[in-house]
Amino acid sequence: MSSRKKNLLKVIVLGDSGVGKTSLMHRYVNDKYSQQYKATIGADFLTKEVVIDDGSQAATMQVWDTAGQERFQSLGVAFYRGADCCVLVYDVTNPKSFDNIKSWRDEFLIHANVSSPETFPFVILGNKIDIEDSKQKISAKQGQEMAKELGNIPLFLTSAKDSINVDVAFEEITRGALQQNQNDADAFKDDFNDAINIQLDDESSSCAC
Amino acid sequence: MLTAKRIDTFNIKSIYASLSLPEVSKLIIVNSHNDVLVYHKNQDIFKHLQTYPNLIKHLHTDESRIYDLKYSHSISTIFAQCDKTIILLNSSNLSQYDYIFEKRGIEQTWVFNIRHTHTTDDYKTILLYSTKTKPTLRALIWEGTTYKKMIDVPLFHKSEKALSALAIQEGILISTKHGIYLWKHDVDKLIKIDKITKRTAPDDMMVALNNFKNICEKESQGNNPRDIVSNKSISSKASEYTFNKSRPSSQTFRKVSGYFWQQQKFRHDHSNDNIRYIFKPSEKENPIIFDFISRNILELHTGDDNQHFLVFSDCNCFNSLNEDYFSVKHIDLNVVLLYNEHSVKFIEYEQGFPFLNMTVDDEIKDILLLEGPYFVMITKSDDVHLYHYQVDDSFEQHILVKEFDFNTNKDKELNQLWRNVLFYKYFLSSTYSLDICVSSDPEHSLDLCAMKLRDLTVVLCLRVFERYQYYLKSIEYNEDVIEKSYNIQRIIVENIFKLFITYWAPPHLVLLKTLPNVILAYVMDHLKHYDDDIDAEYYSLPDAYTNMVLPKLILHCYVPYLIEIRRHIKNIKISKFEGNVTWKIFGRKINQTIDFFLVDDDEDTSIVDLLTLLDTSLFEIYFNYNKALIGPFLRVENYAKENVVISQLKKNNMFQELIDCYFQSGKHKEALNFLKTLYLSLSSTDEQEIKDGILLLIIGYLRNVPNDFIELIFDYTKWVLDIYHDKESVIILVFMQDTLVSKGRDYQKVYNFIKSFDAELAVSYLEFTISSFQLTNATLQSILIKAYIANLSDAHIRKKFNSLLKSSMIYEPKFVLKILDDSIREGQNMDIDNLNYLQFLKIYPLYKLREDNLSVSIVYNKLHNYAEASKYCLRIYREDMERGQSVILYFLQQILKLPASDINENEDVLYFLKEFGSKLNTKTILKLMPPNTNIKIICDYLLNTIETTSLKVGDSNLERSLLQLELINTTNTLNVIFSENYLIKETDICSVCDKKFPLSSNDSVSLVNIYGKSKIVHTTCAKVIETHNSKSKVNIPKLITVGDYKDGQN
Repeated sequence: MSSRKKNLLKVIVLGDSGVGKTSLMHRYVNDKYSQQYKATIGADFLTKEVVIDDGSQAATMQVWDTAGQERFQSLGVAFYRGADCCVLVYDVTNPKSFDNIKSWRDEFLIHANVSSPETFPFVILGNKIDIEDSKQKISAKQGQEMAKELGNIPLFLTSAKDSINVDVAFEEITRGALQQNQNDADAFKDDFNDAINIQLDDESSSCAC
Repeated sequence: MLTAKRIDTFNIKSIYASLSLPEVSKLIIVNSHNDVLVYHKNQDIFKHLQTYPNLIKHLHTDESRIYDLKYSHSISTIFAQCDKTIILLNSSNLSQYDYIFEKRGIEQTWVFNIRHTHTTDDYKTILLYSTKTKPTLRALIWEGTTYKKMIDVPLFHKSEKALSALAIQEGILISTKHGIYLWKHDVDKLIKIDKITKRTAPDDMMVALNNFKNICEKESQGNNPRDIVSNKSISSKASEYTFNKSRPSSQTFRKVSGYFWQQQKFRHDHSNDNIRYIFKPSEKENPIIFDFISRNILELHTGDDNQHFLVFSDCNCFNSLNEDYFSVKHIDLNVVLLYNEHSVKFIEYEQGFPFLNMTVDDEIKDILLLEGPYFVMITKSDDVHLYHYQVDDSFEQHILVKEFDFNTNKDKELNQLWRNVLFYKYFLSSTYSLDICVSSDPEHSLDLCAMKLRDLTVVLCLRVFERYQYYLKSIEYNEDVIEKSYNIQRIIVENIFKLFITYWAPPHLVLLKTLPNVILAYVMDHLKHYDDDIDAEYYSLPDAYTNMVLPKLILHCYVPYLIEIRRHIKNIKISKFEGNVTWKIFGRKINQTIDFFLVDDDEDTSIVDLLTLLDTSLFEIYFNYNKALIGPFLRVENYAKENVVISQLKKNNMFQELIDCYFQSGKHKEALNFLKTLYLSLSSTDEQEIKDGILLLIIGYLRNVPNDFIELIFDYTKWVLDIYHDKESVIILVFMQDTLVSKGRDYQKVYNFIKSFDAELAVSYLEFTISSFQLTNATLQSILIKAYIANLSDAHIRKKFNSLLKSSMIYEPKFVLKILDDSIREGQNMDIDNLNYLQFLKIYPLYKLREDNLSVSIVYNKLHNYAEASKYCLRIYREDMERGQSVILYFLQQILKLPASDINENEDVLYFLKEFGSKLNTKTILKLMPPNTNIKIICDYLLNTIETTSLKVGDSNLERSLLQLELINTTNTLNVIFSENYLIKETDICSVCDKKFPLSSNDSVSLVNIYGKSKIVHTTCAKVIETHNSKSKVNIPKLITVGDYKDGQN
């Protein structure tokens, strides 16, 4: 039996309500942005075919957008199972969303039942940097300090609206997810044995015994 | 279980063929006279609609008898199968519209209606038949209602006959006595599916348990498989062999499987050799082959390389099927119908559990399925019975005990539970759930069934777990066996907990029955010990309890269950759900309260009690098997028993996690006191590193404590400052961080606190807070400004003060101005330089107040600083020209206020004219200049002005010329456009009829050539000319239209 490799990267996007999770996802997957805010209900996902680095590897990235309103109360463990990367999003104009990043991370680790929290790939996105400086409440330095405090998590300051840093951020997300995915795949085994010795030919038809 | 009730009966003499048309609730029967009788099922009876006497006589065929009927809803056709002909009849009136002649004779027919996509109603219809004299299959294909093509394929063996066929996505799957074939669409050969494989591990909990049982029994009985089976009945032997099939070693498996196969063959002395039935249960992705010949159940799979192979399943189905059957029909989901002369069975096809078992006195000839929970039985005495099957709970025990021969009572109980679970799953997920439910309120009854299924499933899982533990114990927890059989154990435990998650199993029950003793003992003991309202019974351990589960499985299976159940219970706790959560199962939505999670004897348990039990267990699992998750767990909201957690963490020196726990529960004093005590308990110099680490933990903790505990923060910061040499670092780390906590501090209290240690650092604190948090607090600003004023001699302070007033946007200018004025007034003894600097600083608040003249007056008149005044004016001018011109004008007036005799010696005038001359109106400047101003003074200014003005005039001339040129070009373009059209005036007359042209847009005009000149005439007149010219053979060119004229011009 040929060996099967899982090539689906499951990425989960978390963050407070209104930080731009859906917009980031749509910007990355469809290269579109909508000004209108529409709260996500439950969870929604988009897929994108990705080619990694030198083009030697291809995978399907499944980006799961979540509803930030109810935090972890609305989605069951099955939703988080098998996640390859978690993207934590805050809004640079909303300090509370920034402050909540830590608890989003902790909640994810608990709900996804991550076996090695130290090595699980997270990426932090500080979104809405297109908004004028005077309204930005979270500096890049603050973001970096927190990313460092949480274990040197990669941080990107993004704008889904102006398409700033979104692709670069998702490249990093892909890299992290792929690495995690390969770690998981090492434990992956074939579902089926080699062919077994059963003949369906009705030999009894030629021999009555 | 199910019972079938006969609801209608009628008799037809000598039935030859029959057909059910479920889509239109019709039954068609052909008798020996070739009469075709049509019935319609109306409610619970068949109503005779019509009889077509001796139909075959009226058809265009030489055939004498109809053997079988098939129906295609998509092409509204009934196919009447005769000896060598298939007659195509219109399904509405049975009139023949075509026929197919097959000289080789027709053995059997199948009809498939395949919808192209789920979104369209386009069907493909395939009529497949096998021939009698040659082993050949022929398919005739219709696309929509149009016949497209016919394809023949030969079978591989002489006298090979197709037994069953099913249309699947890739083509048609066909079974014969010799094997399974796939006939791909548009290909004229069959692909024999030779490859048969099996799963490396079963995917079913019960099968895995049996496998594990065999492994353990083999181990405990000295690796002698004969011993295992020596004392068993024949049926149990078969059962054991079935278990042996799935041993993980493939090499061993091959041998055993061959032996098993022969055993099966040996046992199998019935004549079901014609049944190799193919069907596709709706809940499965792949088709199933229910094979009576090899007594196996096979599933068709497609590999990554698009090669098809069959997967052999572990099943016990054939062990219970010890009779001959005529036929198998798929009913719904995982249930198939089997029948022979006197009995009808509905069985769950994998395990063979009977869901319906009925016997009849008459001999059964055929059974036809109808839409809904109905079937038609045709007997050899030509009775046609209509049956309705429904659920009847009272039959449960009877059938089970009768049908199965179990090894032990435990086996019996387990299998009974398993069968009940499978039955209720079928009941709830069946397409006909409502129809088979005997109740006045079926929806409510189905909800109750879902609850019953939940109870049965939970009990089944607990029993399976109990058996799993029993087998483990039987091998005395032999590590080698446990390690080797990990995969089987994983499947057992994983499936159990998946079901616990799906069915929201009560946590108390699950934990008590399944949690390993190493954890449960601790949880229960501690909960009992620390629970204020002691309920010793609730927390008491079960007797003789020795659960053992591999750590990997505990993390993989228990944790998701605990997380999921606590999520549901927390949702109940959230007020917006009003104590209800919706449990969704098999399409049903049932509101549940906290009672759903309780077992009967713990009704007094509150939501918090349950959450405490769950979270404490979760903590213990993390503590024992994945310490890395303790931190995240304790940092989020949790109900783990605090004393249990603290005690464990303290005992194991997990300080970071401990203070996370204290922090989450708001016990900051306890946290800090613990760290302080810990620090003080270390005295040896060798432990300095640890002591420093503890100090860092204290500092880190203090930084995050909310402002409500400000006095506590001061107390402990003071203590740290007393013992730590780098006080500045401590203060910076605790108070001067750009965080939301720092932002929420009582700044003044903090300032005063820091000032008591270091005044300079206190000022830095104010600078940090004002700039980082954009504070507009007047008191803080006042304190900061006064602190600056007190140290104004310091160049560095001056610079900061200047920078604060110049660049900060957040201070209140009037307030700052007042402070500066007060300071100047009160500081008359101050150094003159400082006083002047304070005067100078006033320009920043004045600038914000738009008091520009006052600023210029201070800088120029009081401080005599032309350069700063000029800089101020330029800054204003660049920002706002109008405001700038006003202040520049004021600046000039201040300069010119000098005594008249000095005007010609005042260099400021020269500088001003040079810098600002071009920014003001020349006439305004000249008007303001005193009459005695020496012309030399303003000479350069005037020359510059003339030169600038000349340049402006030149620019204007150039712009005018360019605009004129543009006008010419535009006019030219306009003329060209005009020239392309001819404007017909009201006074113009037609050259032919001398009448005016009509102004109505409906009338048309034409351009014609009359005597070499182009003339506009009425179109009708143009035609007259044309006719005239053609008659007189005068060579008038073809009628020219305006369009032609335009083309000619172009």
